[in-house]
Amino acid sequence: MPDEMELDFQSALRVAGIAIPEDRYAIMLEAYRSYRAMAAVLDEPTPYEDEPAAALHPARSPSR
Amino acid sequence: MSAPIPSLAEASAAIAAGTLSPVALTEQALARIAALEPRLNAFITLTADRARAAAAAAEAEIREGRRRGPLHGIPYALKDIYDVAGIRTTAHSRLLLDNVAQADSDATERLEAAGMVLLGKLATHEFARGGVNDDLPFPRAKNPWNPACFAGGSSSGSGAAVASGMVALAMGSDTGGSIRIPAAFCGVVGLKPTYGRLSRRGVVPLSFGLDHTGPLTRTVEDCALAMQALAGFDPRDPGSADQPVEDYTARLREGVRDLRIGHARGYAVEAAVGAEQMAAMDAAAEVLARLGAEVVEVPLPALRRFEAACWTILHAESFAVHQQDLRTRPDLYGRTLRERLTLGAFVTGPHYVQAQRLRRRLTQEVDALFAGLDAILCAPAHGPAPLAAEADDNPWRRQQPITAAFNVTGHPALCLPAGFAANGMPLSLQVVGRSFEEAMVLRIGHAFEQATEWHTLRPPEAQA
Repeated sequence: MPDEMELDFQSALRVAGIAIPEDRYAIMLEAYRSYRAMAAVLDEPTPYEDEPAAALHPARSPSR
Repeated sequence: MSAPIPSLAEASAAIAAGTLSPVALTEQALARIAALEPRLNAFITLTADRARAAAAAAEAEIREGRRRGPLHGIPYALKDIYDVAGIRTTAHSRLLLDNVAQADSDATERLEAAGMVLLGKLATHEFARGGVNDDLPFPRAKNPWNPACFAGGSSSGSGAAVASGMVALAMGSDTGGSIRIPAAFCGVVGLKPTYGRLSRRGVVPLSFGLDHTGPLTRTVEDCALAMQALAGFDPRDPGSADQPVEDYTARLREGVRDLRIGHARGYAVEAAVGAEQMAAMDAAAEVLARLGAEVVEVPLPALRRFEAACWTILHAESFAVHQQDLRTRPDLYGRTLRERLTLGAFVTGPHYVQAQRLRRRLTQEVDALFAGLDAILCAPAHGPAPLAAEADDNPWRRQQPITAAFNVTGHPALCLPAGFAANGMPLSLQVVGRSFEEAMVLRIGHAFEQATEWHTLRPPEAQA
């Protein structure tokens, strides 16, 4: 019976349209669990005003 | 066998003095490639005819008193993700076997304008992200210090070509350490400049927000010479920075007296860096202290924060680049790259944004350290190059590259030789600087290099 994280894994692959060969399923699931553990840092609270690094820096538009 | 070709500085001085001709230098490089290439696999595409024609043209120009600058008439090579008009860019992948570039990359334009002579395109990990031992259309580049060892990646051919004396300048790219790790494992110099310092136009992308281009050379002085030709604003690269270009050689020899240099020893301990690499870092700190720098231990932000930011951004952006091909023709990818790219399917929108917010915060925290420092020493790898057969080609690596911290913050980082492990493989020192202050990083690296002999030693595979 898949646990919740495995169901998430299957769902993400389905949404992305990616198929994984059967013989690589277990190792990819393990990779997914490892990534989720690493990304837990990103769930820590962030001040409202912290802007992302990739925020747009608009340049002046070309003149007519 | 043909001798290793001289450094950029040596070749430049000899050409200026009229004691070396670009044609002779190019023939020497081609002969050396012919002798070593069957064992090292550094090149994917050799452009011998083009090189001979360019060398002859350079020689004629110089003879007529029209020498363009210090790099005129000297050979170079490009990682095979840089475009050169009329030559295929494969990214070491079946997907791009017929991909003939329509225009030059910015780096190609600048090096050609400087009068350099293109020798060819170099091996890489597939799309600068794949594995070491996959079944790919070209063989993997081997480490000249021991062909059974990993050359480092992803700029593996660049590291091997420079270390073996085939070429004095090879261009690489660095999204998580792909210039610095091959430089460290092959015992050469590699610079990841500040994000935006060098253009990425005409270079196959991996992760737009983390991709850097930069040079690999035999010496720090050569790296400075290359940077002078390469640096500059490129309005056609959205990530290019419109910042003044420093003079990279003017203060190269000013030494480190009275500089304040941090040593991120705790970061290395946290990353479980091995004893030999730790000892090399400690010895490097002592050398710089003996030369007159004040060296103090400094705490970097926690490794897990850098890793979460880096790998979330990299997975998401590289997946965005490749999603269509992963869906429609996955079999054309090597197994390792296909699986590593697939990790991007697991990144949520909020996590990508959070990673970008964390990235800004980490950059600010490292910048705050620089308020009291001229540079930071940081281990570039966990240890020397492992055996290629033992390289970690899993989708999720047991250890992530510790170099990636400065892809996140964008600060310039230089790797240079700093010793040898018991197995005879090179160890390296990483010097990290303030953003857009590559000249200081190069100055510190040059002082260390001149006080040590590591850069003078040649790999057994490359001895004449």
